[in-house]
Amino acid sequence: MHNLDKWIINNSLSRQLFAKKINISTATLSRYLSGDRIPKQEIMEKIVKITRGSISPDDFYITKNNNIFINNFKKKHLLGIEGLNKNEISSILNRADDIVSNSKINYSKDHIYRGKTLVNLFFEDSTRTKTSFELAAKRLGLDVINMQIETSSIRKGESLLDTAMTLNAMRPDILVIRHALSGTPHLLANKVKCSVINAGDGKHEHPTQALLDALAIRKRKNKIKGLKVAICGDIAHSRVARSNIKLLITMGASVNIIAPSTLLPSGDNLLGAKSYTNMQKGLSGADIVMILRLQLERMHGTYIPSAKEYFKFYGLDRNKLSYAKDDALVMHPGPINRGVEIDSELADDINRTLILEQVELGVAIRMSVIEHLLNNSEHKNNV
Amino acid sequence: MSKFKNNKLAFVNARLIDPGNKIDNIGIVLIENKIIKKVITNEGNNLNLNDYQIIDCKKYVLCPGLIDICAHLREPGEEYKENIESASNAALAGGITSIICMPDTNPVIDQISVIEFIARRARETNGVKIYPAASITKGLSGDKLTEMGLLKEAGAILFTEGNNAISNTKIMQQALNYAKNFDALIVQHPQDAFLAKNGVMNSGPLASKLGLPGISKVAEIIQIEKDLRLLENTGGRLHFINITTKESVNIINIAQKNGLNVTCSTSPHYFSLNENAVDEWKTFAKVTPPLRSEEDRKYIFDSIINNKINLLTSHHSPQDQDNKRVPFEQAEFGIIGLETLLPLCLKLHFEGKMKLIDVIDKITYQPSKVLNLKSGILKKDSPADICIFDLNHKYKLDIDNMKSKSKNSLFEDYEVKGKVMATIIDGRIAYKSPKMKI
Repeated sequence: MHNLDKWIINNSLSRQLFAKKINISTATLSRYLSGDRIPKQEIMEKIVKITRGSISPDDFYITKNNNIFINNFKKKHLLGIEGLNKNEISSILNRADDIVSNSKINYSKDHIYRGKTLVNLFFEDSTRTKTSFELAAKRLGLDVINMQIETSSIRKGESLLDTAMTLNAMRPDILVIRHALSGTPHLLANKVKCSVINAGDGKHEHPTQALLDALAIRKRKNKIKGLKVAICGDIAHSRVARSNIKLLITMGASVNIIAPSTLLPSGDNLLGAKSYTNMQKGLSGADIVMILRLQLERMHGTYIPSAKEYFKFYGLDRNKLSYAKDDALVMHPGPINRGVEIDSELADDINRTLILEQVELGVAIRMSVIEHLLNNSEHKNNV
Repeated sequence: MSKFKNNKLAFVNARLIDPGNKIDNIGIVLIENKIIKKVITNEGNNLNLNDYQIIDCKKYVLCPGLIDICAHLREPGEEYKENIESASNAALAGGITSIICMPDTNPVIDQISVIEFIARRARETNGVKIYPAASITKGLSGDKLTEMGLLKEAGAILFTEGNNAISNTKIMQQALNYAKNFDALIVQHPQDAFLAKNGVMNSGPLASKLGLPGISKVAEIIQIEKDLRLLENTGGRLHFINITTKESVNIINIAQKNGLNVTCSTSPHYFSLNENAVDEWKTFAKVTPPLRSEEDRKYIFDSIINNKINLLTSHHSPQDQDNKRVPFEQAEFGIIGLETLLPLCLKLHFEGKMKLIDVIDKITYQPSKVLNLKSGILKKDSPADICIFDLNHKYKLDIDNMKSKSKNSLFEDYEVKGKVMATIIDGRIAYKSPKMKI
């Protein structure tokens, strides 16, 4: 519901009466409220005056015609953090912030994104990310289709492009794809006409996770620039780590990566992050400690000898956390292996961790991303 | 042509380049029936060429036909990627007159019947000379030796596991040792199977960034070191194909100095391109071994020029679209190379200042020596296998119009110099460019 509608109800008025008060027709008022039109300067002033400032011009720049916030976003797809600049990242974060603080924004099913379709194409099991995209899309009024791709057919690469072409023929607006092999969303993006969002590809990128992590950091620390972030865990196989490193460094943070050397990527640094094999050194002075999930299959001999040994040297507990700054916050993309990568009791400490906030912000970030891509493609079509 | 008896051809005015005889001079080559009758480089000789069909090769280079020691022809088994006929046409257009085909077909070239099948198909095609390589182990299983003696008698020119290396040291030792009985050449694609497992590109920052499993250069180095240690012990002849690292070159050179009978080769993509060709999951850049760092590429380039690498091969590996238009990790390895071998090797001359005769040496006389072939040299009574090319013809490689069935090349639109004008096999003009007047 539009804030002005709320004000009208709270003040026991009706749209007709309010329209009369500011000397416009009811139909015009409806257009203002639906976002089809923005009030002219003089009318805007009247509205602000009558509502004694409860309603401000901001309230009208939010729906159909509020592409202002997105105008600088020129990307058709979100395939990774790679290629996004500071402004584009900020634009996505700012919009998500607006969505979280909600009061100004009023989405409803029959609103601006009605008739748009988002397809969730998940070749890998996922509950969190898929649900989060579905919820985000539905809140924006999109139709959502979930494609369950049988695990057995993942191996048959031939069918991948066929699947994409079939979907393309159905003319969706956004394709969200998760795949176990790096680069798959890029391959599909070349074949389909709609926007593609990478929801995680192999060991490459997971951009929406990095964006929501950045949002969580910004909410608590009020900035990203100048922060020191330590990322600990299976860096070699982690797409979350890659996207986070790219984003944090783009936004002016410094990043340490900490892992046993078998789980570090080859080379001294990854994408500009500094490598450490010792938690004490790597965590020193950190404002944020990001813990990555350790996949079960890596725990039995080839990468590390046991979960027990891993927890002893690399699992985060209060003692190891004390190497970081006193107000350091702990993050984890979930799902958590309690007692493997993080101490169970610490994981539940809401004063030190952002874990639940991360999940909560996921929906807002994905709404923001969907809006950015839709508005951008609309913008392009109009030109 | 009927007025010329016995198929007598005289190639005149050509710049003859014959590395086997160290000839680089304007001259005349006379061929009769299937063999070279005479090579004349001293001028002023009053020759009577009345019986000969005269072919003017002015401004062209004439050299022995190219010999490619490593190519995958995909027949039998994967004819949708390539077959003997299409590969033969591609080879002829590339100035190649002899190809050694790899045994990783289906069925594998591990028995006489498959060798005979290939020989028959080659006869029917009547194109390039095809010499089958047989596998070292039955069915490329890596554990039981093939009948090397019988296979060699039937026509197997060398023994190799194709793109696999024998990882079992005991079997490798036995293979080297047993091959000695027949003076058979063992060819190894050096890559340690354990270290390379699941890997798809050179390990390093780019692989980490793209999230692709890497293959470290150690995988290549360690395999070579292991095999050389065995060779030292067994004796015999060993050749490494697809050398891509600095260390590999150096280790092999030391072994050669110590008297081991070992040679090595590499392919144009390893001295032309580095790992950055993978760019964003470009599957055409997925080759085995992987394209390496710029440092290694440069070293390989220089090593060829400095004669530290014995010869060059195309490592022609056709792959159809269905095997390349998939996510990088699922894509097959390989790049086509028959038609691009000569112009890419000529880059060593144009860009690396390598003497032309030395470049030609690496693709004619040197492979011929390693394989004990009669061709690869311009001398009396050797087979009339000849390549004629226009050294200074500048053009862009047009992959789509190449004769290979598969088009998986990274060299589309690549600017090169050196175009094949005619290819002669056993005195027969098997290929000629439309511009060649014959």
